Amino acid sequence: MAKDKSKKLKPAKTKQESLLHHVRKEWKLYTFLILPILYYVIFKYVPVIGNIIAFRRYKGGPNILGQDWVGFRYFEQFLKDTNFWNAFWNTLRLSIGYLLVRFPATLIFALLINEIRKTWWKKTVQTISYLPHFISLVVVCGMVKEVLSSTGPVNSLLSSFGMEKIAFMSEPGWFDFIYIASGIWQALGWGTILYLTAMTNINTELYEAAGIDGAGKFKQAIHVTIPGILPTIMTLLIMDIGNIITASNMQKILLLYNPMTQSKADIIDTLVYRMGIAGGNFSYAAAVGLFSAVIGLVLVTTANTLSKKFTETSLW
Amino acid sequence: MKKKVVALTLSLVMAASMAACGGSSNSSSKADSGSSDSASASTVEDGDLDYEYGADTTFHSDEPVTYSMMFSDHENYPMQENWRLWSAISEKSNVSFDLTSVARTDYGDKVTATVNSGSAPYIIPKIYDSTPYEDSGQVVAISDWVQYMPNYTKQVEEWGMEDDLKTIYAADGKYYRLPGMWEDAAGGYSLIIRKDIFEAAGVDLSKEATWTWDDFHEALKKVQAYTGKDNIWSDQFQFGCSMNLAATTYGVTAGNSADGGDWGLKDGTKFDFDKNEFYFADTTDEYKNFLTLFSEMYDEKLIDPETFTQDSTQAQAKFFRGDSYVLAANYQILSDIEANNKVTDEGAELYFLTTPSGPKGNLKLSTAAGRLENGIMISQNALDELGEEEFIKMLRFIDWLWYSDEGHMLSQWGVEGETYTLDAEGNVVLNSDIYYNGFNPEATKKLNVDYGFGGGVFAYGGNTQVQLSKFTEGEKEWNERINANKENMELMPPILADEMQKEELNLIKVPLMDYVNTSALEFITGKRDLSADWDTYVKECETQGSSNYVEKVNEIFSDTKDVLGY
Amino acid sequence: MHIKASKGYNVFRIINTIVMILVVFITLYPFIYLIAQSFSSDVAVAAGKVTFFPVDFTTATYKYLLKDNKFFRYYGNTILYSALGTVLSVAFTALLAYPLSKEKLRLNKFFTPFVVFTMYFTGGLIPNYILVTQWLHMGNTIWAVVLPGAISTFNLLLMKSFFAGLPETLEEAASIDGLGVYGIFLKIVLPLSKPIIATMSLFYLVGMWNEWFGPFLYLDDDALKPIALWVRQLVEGANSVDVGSTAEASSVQATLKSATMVLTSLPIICVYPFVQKYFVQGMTMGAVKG
Repeated sequence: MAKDKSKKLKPAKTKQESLLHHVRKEWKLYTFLILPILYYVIFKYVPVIGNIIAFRRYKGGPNILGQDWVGFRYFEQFLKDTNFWNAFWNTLRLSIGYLLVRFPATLIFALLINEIRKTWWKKTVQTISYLPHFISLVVVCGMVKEVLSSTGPVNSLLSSFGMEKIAFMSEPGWFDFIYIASGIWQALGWGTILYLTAMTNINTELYEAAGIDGAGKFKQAIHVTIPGILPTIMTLLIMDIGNIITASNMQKILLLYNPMTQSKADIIDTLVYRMGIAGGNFSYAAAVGLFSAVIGLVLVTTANTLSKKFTETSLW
Repeated sequence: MKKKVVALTLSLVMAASMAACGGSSNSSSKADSGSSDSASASTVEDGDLDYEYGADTTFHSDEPVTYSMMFSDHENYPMQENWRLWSAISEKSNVSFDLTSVARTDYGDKVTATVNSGSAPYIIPKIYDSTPYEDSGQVVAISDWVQYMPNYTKQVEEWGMEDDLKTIYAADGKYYRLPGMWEDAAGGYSLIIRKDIFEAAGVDLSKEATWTWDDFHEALKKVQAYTGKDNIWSDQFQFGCSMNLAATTYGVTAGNSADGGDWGLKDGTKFDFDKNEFYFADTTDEYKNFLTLFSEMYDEKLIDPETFTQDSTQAQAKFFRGDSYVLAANYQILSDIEANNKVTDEGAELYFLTTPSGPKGNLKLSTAAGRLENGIMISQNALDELGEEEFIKMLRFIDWLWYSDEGHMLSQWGVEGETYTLDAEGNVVLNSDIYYNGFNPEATKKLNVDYGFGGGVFAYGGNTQVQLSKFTEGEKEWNERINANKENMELMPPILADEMQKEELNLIKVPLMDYVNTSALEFITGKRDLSADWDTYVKECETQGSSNYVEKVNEIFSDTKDVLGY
Repeated sequence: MHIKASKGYNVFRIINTIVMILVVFITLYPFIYLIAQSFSSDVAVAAGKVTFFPVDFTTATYKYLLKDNKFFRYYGNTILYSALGTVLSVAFTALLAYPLSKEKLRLNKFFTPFVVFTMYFTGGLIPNYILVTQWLHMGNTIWAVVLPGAISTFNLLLMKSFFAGLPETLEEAASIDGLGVYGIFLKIVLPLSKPIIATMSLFYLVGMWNEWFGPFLYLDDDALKPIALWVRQLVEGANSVDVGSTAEASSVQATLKSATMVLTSLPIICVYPFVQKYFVQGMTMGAVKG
């Protein structure tokens, strides 16, 4: 899908036509935008206005814009809250840890699949490794608990080797492992799709040329495959970096954590959920949410700019 | 007939008080709601009403009416539209429901969404705490209206519920939910043990009703020594339930399980009835003793490390196959276990302990929270859309279904002659082909699954007779054991915080109690040391605002003493 | 391949095969475990005897589940929502992604950040609820399920970069042949985009199939609920108990939970390989042309 953009770079326009003229000329293409942009305005932007309660007191009820201005009161409150900082560092640790493991794992797995020669086996591996992605989180977390329970297969295996049983779900020390491993289990195969698609788009002549030059399979992977899918790699990396703060998997944490592991498992989103919906402190929760959104936006914009500069790929 | 007379008297009193009535809902003042007279202001003459009502009178509307209602759906008996419950209600009252059915696990979130958006159904049952909704202006201050509900007011008066009701007051001295009311507190959670194992280990169970927690601890040690097994206490509810049972008798608060279920952790404060003020209980020496009790048991490998995280199914499975010998439960769960022969370990005999006593005495824990149950909030939409007259009509329907003896019997046992009969002494005899709560273990049909009766949304509260009718012989015996040995608890006054104060308190409370709860588990499981780390813990609570919190609470308390009558 | 494989490469291939077998096993095992549980007796499951194969083989759980009308109704709803939701989502996403992929459109400088912004700033529960139920009056309708999440910005960006990668020469040629903007999109771009359309369809289908939050929030009528809500109720029920003297703990059997999970996951697992076949074809075609 993603291609080397340098190929189709066109000579820059020397003269800027007037905006009005431009719209008049391309109006048919712009008509495509009408419905989707309307959708964005209604379903994404209108509810966002509700975030104003981060600066206003909201005590419940249909007046979603709150009662009166309180300035940065709620921001000051959470910045002083040790639970917020605990959640903040947990969010970073879990997200970065997951990214550091998943990103290379997916890439390597894609390269390995790409090396499978027998078509039926390749297809089978692909089909099977994609499976977990289709399973809802509720079911996945249910499985995690079953498999890791004291009577579950993992502990049976451990004790058959004469090892002590491990109370996986109650040890804070195991939480990172469980979070990351179950994430990999679900995302490993699926994450390769975009890479594999990109790999099929690499011109086979490049491999042949490299082969003639005496490059082995390993070198071909380094010098042909990886550069060929670099735009895809960068796109995904930017996404992931931007998502470090915001798109951490709240639902999954909610399904996996408990007071025993909370010190390690509580993330910003679960804190917002506990304070907001469960605790009724809507304004406080909105302030925390807004704060993490701003950080997320800054992160992704930075990553995007850097990527634009160095690899000529960008999200927008 | 007596019923008719009551209704007639009521209508007379109403007609007489008509002149005094201002007409608008706002005019019904606090003074009105305080009085338990069954009748006061009304804008209609009784003759004009298109329905019958009254204390001990069946509510019946001339025209069919439909009221919208939230419904908390329990996965054990998923809601069915063809339940006999629905037709039985409409046959008697000519009322049907327009239901918004929500899984009980997500019920609170849906209530939050509908109430705060101002689109809540009229009747919102199964509410344990109305505080988060009180300031939204979307819930009717129901205490202004209870004078229109003859069965309710009768119960309040006859059973002396005034003090219990104070516990649900809001800052304005009103209350916002119609609580379920028991004539007598009973039931609740305690510990099931394996009688066969305990007795074989030489534990004398005849004195268990006067056991302290230390006695229970000793008993567990004997069992451990006899069986040679570790982790003999592997509990469900992530131990939150058991922690609460002990905490109450130690005069402290504890117990909050993973899903956010607050068993008794609350805000960590207790009320000193001598000094007439609140104090923070979870940094006291009693609290330290409480933690010591459990950390010793943990250290001696009496408590299963998984007990804090496993889900209830896993905990029960261990108990059933004889890997553990103690399980926190209530009588319903016990009945369910016995009726379905769930215990597979051979020779198993179960016994339901009464809760052990602690430094604060041998307490009847079911009285800790008073005799109130979860209850019903009424949406402001009902008043706005129905108008006052029709609103009062709806209240009288609610009054009949949830508060009259007839209503209790209907929602609990169904239709006389169809699902149950009454014997010569007036005792309920459930049809032999229907199972409920330990009755008729062999029956193929279930009262809640197949008929909808006996479900959590309608069937709660009531007089002693209704309550006892639900009890099997075993459960009656257990309650007698409790009543003979344990003493009632004093009710703590509520904290009547207004909106701003609530916000302040909440912002201290949520992180503080998070910390207290996490620390409790760390102390128990030995991740932190009770002698070495205790001072750090107390200091950290202090930093998190424990004293500050209590100070604020006491300030609020002294400002509202008059309303509460202290 | 016509290059002679080296010795090292052969060793690599063996290791590769072993790694793949391992991955396949680890991926499949939880499913095997779940299926084995669902065909076992409650007693065996509670005793922790089940690891690979059913113990005390029984189909009772499935019989119980399949005689429940509610189960089929929920299932039917899920199919309906997924089908409509997928079609709608793919159409909307394509409509937006195509113009955004055109560098010549100067207003994209505004529209792209406009769209990306929403990945980070979202509204709270209550504003969303008020919007859908009170302002748009979609509460309790299929639209409340399929519309609010119709475009995933992540998917949109993927589709956009696919469109951006299509050779522009084809479109230019078509334009010279007299095709208009709409004609080009329908007759040239879309046929070339089968791979991405297949991928998008799958992304959205899976999302809709497992979606429970929207239906939970916006659907009141029990008859309209999708199966995902019911699965959640069963699984979460085990973790949650009401506090109070009337509390009723969940007594739903592990076997019933497993069977429900199997039956809900099954169709999407079965549908997937067929879609995969189709879009692997599509991708190869795309590769030849690229």
